[in-house]
Amino acid sequence: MNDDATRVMINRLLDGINRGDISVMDEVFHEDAVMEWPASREQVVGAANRREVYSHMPVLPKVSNRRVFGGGDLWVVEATLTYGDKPFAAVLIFRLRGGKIATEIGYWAEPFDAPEWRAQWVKPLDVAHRS
Amino acid sequence: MAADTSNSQVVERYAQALPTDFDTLSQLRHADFVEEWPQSGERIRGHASYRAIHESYPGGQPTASGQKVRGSEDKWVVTPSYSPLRIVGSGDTYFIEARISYPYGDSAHFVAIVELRDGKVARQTTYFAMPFEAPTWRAALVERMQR
Repeated sequence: MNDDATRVMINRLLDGINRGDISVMDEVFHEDAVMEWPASREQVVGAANRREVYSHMPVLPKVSNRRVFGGGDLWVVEATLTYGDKPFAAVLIFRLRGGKIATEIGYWAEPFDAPEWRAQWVKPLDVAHRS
Repeated sequence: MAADTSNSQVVERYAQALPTDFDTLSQLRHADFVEEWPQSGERIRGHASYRAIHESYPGGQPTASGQKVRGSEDKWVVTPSYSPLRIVGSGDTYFIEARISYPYGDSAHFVAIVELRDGKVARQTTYFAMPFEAPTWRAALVERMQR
């Protein structure tokens, strides 16, 4: 699978989540794929558990400001994931095997106000420039 | 894959130099180095600004240490005085996972996406993810990871 095809696949996954269609996960994840969520120390192992977890999610996120990049078997998604009215700066690391996702490592980071003390050294970052 | 090997060595050194071995970081960073903090919407241009910020933390400088996550095939490096860091990547794209402890006792996952150009770190995108309790509704469907 070339990088263009992988990028299309990952965008298809994100588009599916965005419209609440979790069946697309079965197309892009391996049956034995593992999702790791280190901040809550959870691992979702295998397709059966993944389907149950996602079909019971109280709310699925809306995906915006996405940036998809990588190459070969390692891909990264940075995006704003909004659950109801609560946005997170999310980063998802995908490791592929044979053209499908074998591992997802996901982090959800809460936005915070840029501190005043370092304002002189930073510039505002607009993530909306991402497609 | 000589470039890959070399990039991987650069990132290993880089991960060990974070956050405050400024001389090493400076050597490993591209002249056009940029770091982005999406959570607070801040972009830092250049190593000099990075250094100024890290020398000016009001509560002192954070320290990085690693965390091992069970069930992964990841590559580990051991920093001299802390636990291992997780580094995953290939080509020009890597990510570094570490644990950050702040002086006031809080801790978080430190996640840095590192992108190289010409064998140097040109771009770093850093997230600070606080731990949260695993929800009970999915407890039967997940395995718990070890710290």
